[in-house]
Amino acid sequence: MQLTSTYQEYLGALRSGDRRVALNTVRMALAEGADIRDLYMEVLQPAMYEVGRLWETNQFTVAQEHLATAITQSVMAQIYASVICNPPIGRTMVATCIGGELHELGIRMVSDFFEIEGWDVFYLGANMPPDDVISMIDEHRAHLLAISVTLGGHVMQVREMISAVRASHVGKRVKIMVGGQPLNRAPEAWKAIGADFMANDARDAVKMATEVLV
Amino acid sequence: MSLNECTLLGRLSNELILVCDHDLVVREANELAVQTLGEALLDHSLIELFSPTAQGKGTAFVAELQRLSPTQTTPTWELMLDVPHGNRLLIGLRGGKLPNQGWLIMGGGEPSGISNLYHEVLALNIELTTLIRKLSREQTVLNDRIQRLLEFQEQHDVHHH
Repeated sequence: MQLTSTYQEYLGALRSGDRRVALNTVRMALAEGADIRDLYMEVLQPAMYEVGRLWETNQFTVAQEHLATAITQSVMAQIYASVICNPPIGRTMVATCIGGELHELGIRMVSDFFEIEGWDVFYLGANMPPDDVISMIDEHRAHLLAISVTLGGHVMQVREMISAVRASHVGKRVKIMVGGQPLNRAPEAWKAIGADFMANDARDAVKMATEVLV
Repeated sequence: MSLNECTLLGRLSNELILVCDHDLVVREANELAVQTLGEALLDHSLIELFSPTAQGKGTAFVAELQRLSPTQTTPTWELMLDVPHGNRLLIGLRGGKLPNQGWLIMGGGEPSGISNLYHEVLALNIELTTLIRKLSREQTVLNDRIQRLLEFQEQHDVHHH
């Protein structure tokens, strides 16, 4: 299904800060048969990249950028029912992100992609202490830990998180996946920080995890 | 115009004031700027203080400054700066070319805590969206159970008759 016009309408709604129009645009596309994964990859994600570009070129204020982020978070929550439609496959993922609330959209999208595939996902929010992450992995017998990072300056925190998990009693049984813009720019960095693999986007994350956890 | 002359302007007293040369190296800073950004900012390029997300925007801002004629003032820009304790500062940049020293950069030093307010609102929105997700999950579980109960009831009725 072609989603170009949906993208334009959605971006227009973000530009004008109109949550209702944004939500209606996405709901209409779903009602017309759009795959929710395509909506994420071809509408929500590129729209948020465009918002970032608009801020960088001084066409959006920080307030507009924050509002666009909040609207997209809200839209994703409202259509979440479409995400949890598949039966569980017996796989569990714990997900977190480093770097604050503004940067949690990416890992939310990744989490939703896994849920669509039938994974049980426990999203912990941003900047969780390593001990809490380890507890969640243990409590839910997680197969996979997903860590997202948005800023280059936070990559070292990811390494610290991975070191703490590896050194813990759950370190040997959980696979660790990382992703985010700074890692996309340095494709070998995931090895240096101790992850098992990295993913370029949400779709790639599910594919990689499926291959690694055969 | 010197920093002292700038700070005499009462309306600017709650703003960061930086006097930079043509390469945006900070030559003078008012007390609020030093308190907020640290003493190390003096004689360093302001660009070094931009957060990674603002680097591209910062470069564009410098390019715009260099294009301007001495009489023009820059439009307002918003840039994120790395500040001590990991907080990022929302800063409005505007100014004009100074006759001898380069650029005067002025920005709000969060007198109204607007940056914190953004983050609070965003955190609340995340809580709300997380609750909506939990409710959707509960609703799915309940729908599933109701469906199974109805099927059970149907089977029971068939046996009964």
